[in-house]
Amino acid sequence: MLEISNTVNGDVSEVKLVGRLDVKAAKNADQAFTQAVEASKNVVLDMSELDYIASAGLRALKRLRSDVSANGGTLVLRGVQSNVMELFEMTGFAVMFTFE
Amino acid sequence: MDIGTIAQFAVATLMPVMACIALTLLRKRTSVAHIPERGWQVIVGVIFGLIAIYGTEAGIPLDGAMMNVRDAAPLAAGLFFGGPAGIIAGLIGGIERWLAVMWGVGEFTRVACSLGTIFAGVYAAALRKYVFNYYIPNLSFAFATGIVAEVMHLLLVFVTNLDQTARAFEIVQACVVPMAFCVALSTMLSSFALHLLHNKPLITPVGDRNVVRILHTRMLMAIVVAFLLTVGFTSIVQTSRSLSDTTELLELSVEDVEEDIVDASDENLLEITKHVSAAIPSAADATSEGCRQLAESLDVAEINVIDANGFIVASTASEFIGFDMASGEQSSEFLVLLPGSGQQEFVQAYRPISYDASTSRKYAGVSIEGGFVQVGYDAQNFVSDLSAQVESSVKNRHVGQRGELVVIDEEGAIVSTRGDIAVESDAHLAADVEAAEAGQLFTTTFAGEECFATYHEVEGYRVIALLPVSEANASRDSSLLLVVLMEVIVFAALFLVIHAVVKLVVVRGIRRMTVQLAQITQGDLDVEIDVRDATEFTSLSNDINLTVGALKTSLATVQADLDMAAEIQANVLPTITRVISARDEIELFSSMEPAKEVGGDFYDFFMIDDDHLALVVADVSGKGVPAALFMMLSKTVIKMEALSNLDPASVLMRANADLSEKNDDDMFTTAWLGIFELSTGILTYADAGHEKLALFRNGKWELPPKPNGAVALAVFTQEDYSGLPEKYRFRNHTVVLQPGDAVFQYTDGVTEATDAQEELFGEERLVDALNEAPSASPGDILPFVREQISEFVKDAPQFDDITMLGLRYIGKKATDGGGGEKGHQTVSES
Repeated sequence: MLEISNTVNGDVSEVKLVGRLDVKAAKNADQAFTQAVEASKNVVLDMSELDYIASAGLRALKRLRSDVSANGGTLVLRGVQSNVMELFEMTGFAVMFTFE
Repeated sequence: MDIGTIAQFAVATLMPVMACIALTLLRKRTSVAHIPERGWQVIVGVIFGLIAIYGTEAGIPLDGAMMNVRDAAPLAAGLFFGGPAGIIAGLIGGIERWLAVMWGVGEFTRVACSLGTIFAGVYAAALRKYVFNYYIPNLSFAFATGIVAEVMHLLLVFVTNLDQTARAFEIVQACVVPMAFCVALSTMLSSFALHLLHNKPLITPVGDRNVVRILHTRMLMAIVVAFLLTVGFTSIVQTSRSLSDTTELLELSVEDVEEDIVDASDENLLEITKHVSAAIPSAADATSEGCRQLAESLDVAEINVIDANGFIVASTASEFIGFDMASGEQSSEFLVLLPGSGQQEFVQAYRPISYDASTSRKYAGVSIEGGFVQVGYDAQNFVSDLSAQVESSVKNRHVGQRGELVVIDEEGAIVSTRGDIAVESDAHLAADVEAAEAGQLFTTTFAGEECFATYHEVEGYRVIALLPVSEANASRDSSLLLVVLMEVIVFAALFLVIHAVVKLVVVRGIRRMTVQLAQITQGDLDVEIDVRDATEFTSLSNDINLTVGALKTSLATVQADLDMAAEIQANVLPTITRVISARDEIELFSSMEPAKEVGGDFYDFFMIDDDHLALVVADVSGKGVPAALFMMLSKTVIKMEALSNLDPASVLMRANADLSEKNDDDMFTTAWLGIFELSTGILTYADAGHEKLALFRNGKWELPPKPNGAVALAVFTQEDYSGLPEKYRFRNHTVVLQPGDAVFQYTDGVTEATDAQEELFGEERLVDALNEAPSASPGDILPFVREQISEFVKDAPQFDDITMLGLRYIGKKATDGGGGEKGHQTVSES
């Protein structure tokens, strides 16, 4: 299960992901990311309560990154848990993102 | 009614509204929210019960009844908070009303009011459940609900007092408007307040209305229109009937008196005339002088003697002498008295005379020898003679219950009334009579009361019949009230019946259809819609079944395509026999089990040259057809690059360059590529964001940590890739396998297989499984690991492709050992 909440503060959209970003949840995450990008230039992804991310989730993040940079904005991943970070490291995705 | 009473009544009206607001706000508080619904219903019921009691006690006493808004409380409780609360409030209010007779609340409506209040609670509870489906009725429905409850209540007053309908009627008539209005208003205001508190729009937006609500609204509108039309029509008909009844009654009364007076007057004048005929026995002897003397002594206006030819021969008025009786209409009527005509006496009504139309006079004639005498008198001549008769005629008569008969003379002075009414001024009556025409209905004020009246001119009098307007309209008002009350009930019943029918046929049909459709939309295309309650549903069901059938056919086509795609995908994975059938230095075993029909995982192996075997395990992000296509591309690109290059890291780099070039869909592939030198057992490998390689050395499986985090394929373009820090770039690793050593590579479908509690299979369980396997031979390893995964996830569905590849190095051997049997490959399918 993945819970997604979107909030917008000025020109920053904050998306909080709670739970597991797996194949099933990737589609919902994709939609939430699209909304966030439409709402504002910069996006902060709060991943402090995201326990798991699958390759489909990574793909959604990759797409979010493309969309944000197409807008000329910045994307920040906040509070990434260590096991999720491991996956970022293993797949080399870590290099694509700014972590906070 | 003083201000205080009215204020109390207003407070009683508003109290249920206040309670609705307070209880709703209270329920939202956490301290109250935990009270179970059953207890809450009792609390609400008791509170509204107490308000009902206040309603009784704050009522306005009225002839054995009590005008009150008690019913508003159980209505609000039942409609807005729940059936049990409404019924409890109704019972409390009803029972208290029953007991309240002991401290002076009206006895007459005891049963009706007690029952009415209990009914209100039950009725509200039933409406909430069966009609309004637990939603808060909007303002107009709340108002109508209040009206119907009060009408039922007041009809109960009739039903329980059938022996005293007149009194019941008076009470109902006095109560109906204020009570029904205040109860309805109270209910409506509660609805208003609750709509605001629950943030509900007062008018439901069109798209949010369900069939039942739309029907309710339309029906209510139609009913209000029909109600107003019928009441208006009834009112017009009843008013005109009432007026004609009144006219008839007045007319009859006037005629009665008229007859009496005419009779008396005729008799009186005839008596005088007979007296005259005795004094003048023969026309030949008559003299005008004699006539004058007689007229004076008898106090009459005129005496004429007419001869056998119909000419006046003697008269009190000398100008009449020689007048031909046949020349005027009025006078010619007397010719019946001429000798030979057979009639002896004739009396004529008071009327204008032929000689001079401006004079009215009453004549009587009696035959004498050779002619007849005619006596005429004016009104003033006989008023005194008749006053006794007029008085007695009027005295014992009345019109309707309280109506009067009044006789006035030509000057407008009242000659006679029933006598039990003191008439202070008659000028007003006289003026109204003067303004009206005889025989016409007019209104006037008599003895301080507005009355319908009509009058006749009788013998110089005016006989007036008067009927108080209130009495005249009483019967109209009562039938109108009954019609109104009954119509409210009839229309309410009609509303409920239509509601029930529609709900039964339409709504139930739609619900059933929705349930069946939901099964279809959840993927069960074999469900047949069979709602056939009405022809519309039947045809809709048929249409849907046809559509679903067509959908099924085209889905079957798509499915066939997908099946074929899966088959193609499976076929592109190499088989051991084909690739390395001649090599017995190794045992190779691989499997790929897609989660969906076409997956994103793949493995590959092929000989680059005689001594080098390439091994690939890869995972394309995502699932379905796009992933499958990208997989084909990835596989082709990697193979193409590897065939001309023995350096895995550089193969991956080139593959990345190819794959990232046109990757609009943000796909990516994690991949592991190993190049195994059969002659030496040296395995050189590099990975692109892929899982760790498991190694079997010294009789033990382990999962050495992966030092770098090389990026997955197709994430970065060639240009971006070259700008990456060293640690993210592809790098070669080398491991030398001794005979008997083995390697195991896999995709995240293995380590991230998930059980129902969302726990991952993980690397530790993988290593344990590898070590627990009966042997290090890939032919044992792969099925065993798959079995362990199945045991771990149990019933949880598989979401990711599971791909495994195992290689054991046997070492350089003679080629006659039947190694071909050892190398085999399966593609397991679930």
